[in-house]
Amino acid sequence: MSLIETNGLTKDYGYGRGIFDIDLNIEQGEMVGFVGTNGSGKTTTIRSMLGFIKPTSGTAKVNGLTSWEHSSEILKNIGYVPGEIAFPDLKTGINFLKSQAEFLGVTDLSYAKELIERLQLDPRANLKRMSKGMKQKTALVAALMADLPIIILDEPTTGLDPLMRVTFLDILKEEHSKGKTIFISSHLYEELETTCDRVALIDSGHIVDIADMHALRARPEKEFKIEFLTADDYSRFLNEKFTVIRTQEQYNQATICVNIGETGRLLETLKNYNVKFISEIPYTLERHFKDILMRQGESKNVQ
Amino acid sequence: MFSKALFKQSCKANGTMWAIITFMECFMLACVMLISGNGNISTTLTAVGDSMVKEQIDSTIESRELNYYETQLDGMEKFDNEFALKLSEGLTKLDFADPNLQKTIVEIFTNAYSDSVTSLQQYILEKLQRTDPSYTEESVEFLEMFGCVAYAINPPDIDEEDMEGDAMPDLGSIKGMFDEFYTSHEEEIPDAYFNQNELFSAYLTGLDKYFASSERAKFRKDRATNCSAIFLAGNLTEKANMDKILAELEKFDISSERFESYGYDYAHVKDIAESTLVSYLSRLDLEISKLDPEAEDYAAKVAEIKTELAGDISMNFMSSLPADVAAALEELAQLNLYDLVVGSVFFKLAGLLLPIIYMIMASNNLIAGQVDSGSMAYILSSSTKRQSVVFTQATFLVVSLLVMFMCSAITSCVCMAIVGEAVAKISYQSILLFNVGAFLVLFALSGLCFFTSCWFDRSKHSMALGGGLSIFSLVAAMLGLFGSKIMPSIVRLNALNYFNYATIITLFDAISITSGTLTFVWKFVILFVLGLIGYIVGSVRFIKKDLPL
Repeated sequence: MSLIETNGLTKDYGYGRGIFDIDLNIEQGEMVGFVGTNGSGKTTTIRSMLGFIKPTSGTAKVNGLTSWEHSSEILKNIGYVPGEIAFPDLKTGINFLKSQAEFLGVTDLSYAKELIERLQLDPRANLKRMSKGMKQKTALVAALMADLPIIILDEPTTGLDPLMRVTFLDILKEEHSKGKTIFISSHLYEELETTCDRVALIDSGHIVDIADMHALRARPEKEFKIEFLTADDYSRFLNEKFTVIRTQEQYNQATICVNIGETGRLLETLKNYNVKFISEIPYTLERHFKDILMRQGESKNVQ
Repeated sequence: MFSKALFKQSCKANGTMWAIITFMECFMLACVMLISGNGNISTTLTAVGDSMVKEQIDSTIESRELNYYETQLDGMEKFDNEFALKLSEGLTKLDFADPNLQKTIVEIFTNAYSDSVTSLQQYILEKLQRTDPSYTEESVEFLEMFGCVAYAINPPDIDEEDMEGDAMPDLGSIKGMFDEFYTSHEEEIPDAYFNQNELFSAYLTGLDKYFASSERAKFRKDRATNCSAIFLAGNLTEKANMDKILAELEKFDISSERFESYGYDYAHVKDIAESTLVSYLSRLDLEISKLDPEAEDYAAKVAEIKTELAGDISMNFMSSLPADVAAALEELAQLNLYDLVVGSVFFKLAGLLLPIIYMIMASNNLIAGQVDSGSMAYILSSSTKRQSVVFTQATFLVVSLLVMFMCSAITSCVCMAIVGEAVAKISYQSILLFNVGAFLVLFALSGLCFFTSCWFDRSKHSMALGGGLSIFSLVAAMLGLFGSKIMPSIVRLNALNYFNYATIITLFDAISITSGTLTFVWKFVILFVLGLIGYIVGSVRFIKKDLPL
């Protein structure tokens, strides 16, 4: 049984808005990403999982308990960073964290202190005057300090500077390595690409694809872009037996697709050419999903 | 059910606002109680009552004066006509061969005089009976009306001595019956009503003609102008009548000292009477001059103008003040202004404003505000149940209001102790019940606001409906106050009373509390139940609804 699972989860807000037939299974210890454009239904899915909203049909279960009916029980195991960072009407970050610790029944604040140090957060600051990044960090500390087995984050990195984003993701990776189950939503592919085990793509309320990042990283084919110094070399290379997927004659550039096993042969061949540069074109998550969406769009057009 | 952490958080979040509002509320209450308790209020009340009474007495004097004037004029005309008739009757039987001719003439004259007086009496009584058949010769009103004509005529007090000589006695030299009345007020005794020389020459030319002449009419008019004011002033300031007025005013808590301070002495009354008559006559002349004397209904129109100008002049001052003024005075005497200011104005209106503002803001902050901003997510994700969230927040709201009114109750008791129960004229029990009432109003309104706060996800919607209705209740109660029974009837606007039916603040029955009846109890129960319904329905909704967190 999965730790978090949704079966045909639907929340219909009318006019085609909402989420429809969401089937997601998140296993114990997994880190799952959730991408989609703004308004595609990420937050609604998360709210349903947490039991804040009642599904129109289908169920969301955490630990085998339905979210809507047992919201308070399931939330005992979940640290949540909401998408919209709004704190209770308290004075400073410390006040908030202390109050939150009281809510969570946390007495040992040493882990919170450690997190604060790593995030370079000054919790004494007035909550109202905090920058978006500071608020985000404070919210993360609040969610993590109770050391709960499940962490759900709704677009947690928006508003963070690139360096802080790295620290942030590092902390998440660390939590992941401790065996925690993490569900993180984002509209940025890159940050999920490097950290998650699986990434689900949601578009207009429907799950389009769930990509296994390990499989994606271990793809047997790689793409290379090669530019030659002379047009002669360029045309000569095209006759070699490689799968050419794109040519740009004016630049003497060719993009080829090779199996991992063929890499040696490629390098051997290139010895005989004057190569200006060679670079690998990574197969990104973004590209993966774009391909899928494009294919889907085509099939829709055909219909 | 109850989350201590959440309660603490709510205290921290709303504590400052609570403290400021509570302080201001108590301060305002102390100001109202102490300032209105220092006696100024009763002075104001007395001044209002005084000016009302004075105005009433003035207007009574005015209408009385016109009444006297018209009665005198009318009475004298009647008397003249009657006298002319009787005298000519007597004189036709005169035998010039009679040796006691002079004596007979005097007899005829005297008889005519007394006969005329009798028929004048009859005439006035009939006139009175036309307005009310129950009048008799014994009635005060009759005596007053007849007296006013009699005093104007001031008939000669002819005794045996005057009759002794053979010659006709000199009417001018005979004492009038009411000379003393005029002298006692240092007024000139009016000339004899009949001048014997004039009568004699009139006899030769025709008595009818003489009495109907314009000179005679002018004489009567001047006589009435002069005598009516003197009679009114003299009559009103007479001790017996003064006592009657005082007895009447005593019912409205107006002491004789207070009445004396109004300064209604002989000179003042006469002054009012004279100036009234002057303006009446000039206006009457003006109005009559506008009429066409040739017109058929001339006489009727003149009479119409007279009644219009004089107003209702048949009422007797001595028997009573006009009913509405009497009622207003009575109300004013019974009105406890301190009660009104503290109970109906402060606790029912002014003092509710600040707590209502606090209540609107707090109830919104406690639920809708946190859902709207999303901060409720932190509370709920800490596995605090929705039931306990809603229960804790409701408890916080009720307790904070309760403590607020406890502070106000303590303040009011301290102020009562300073002012003293004697001045304040309200008991500690009522003042505590005022606080309970104000709290229950707030409880009911907070039920409404808590309900809207639970119902809406947007705090602006919750504020607009809950806050709007709460403020509406208050404003309606304010408008309703001007139409309510506690307002003295002279300043009451009855149309505004409808607002009292549109606001639940009406259920706080301050009048019942002060008057010691128990009506307020069931109204309090309704307020409590309404509030409770709001809290329960709101809670159920909050537990069941989708939260955008």
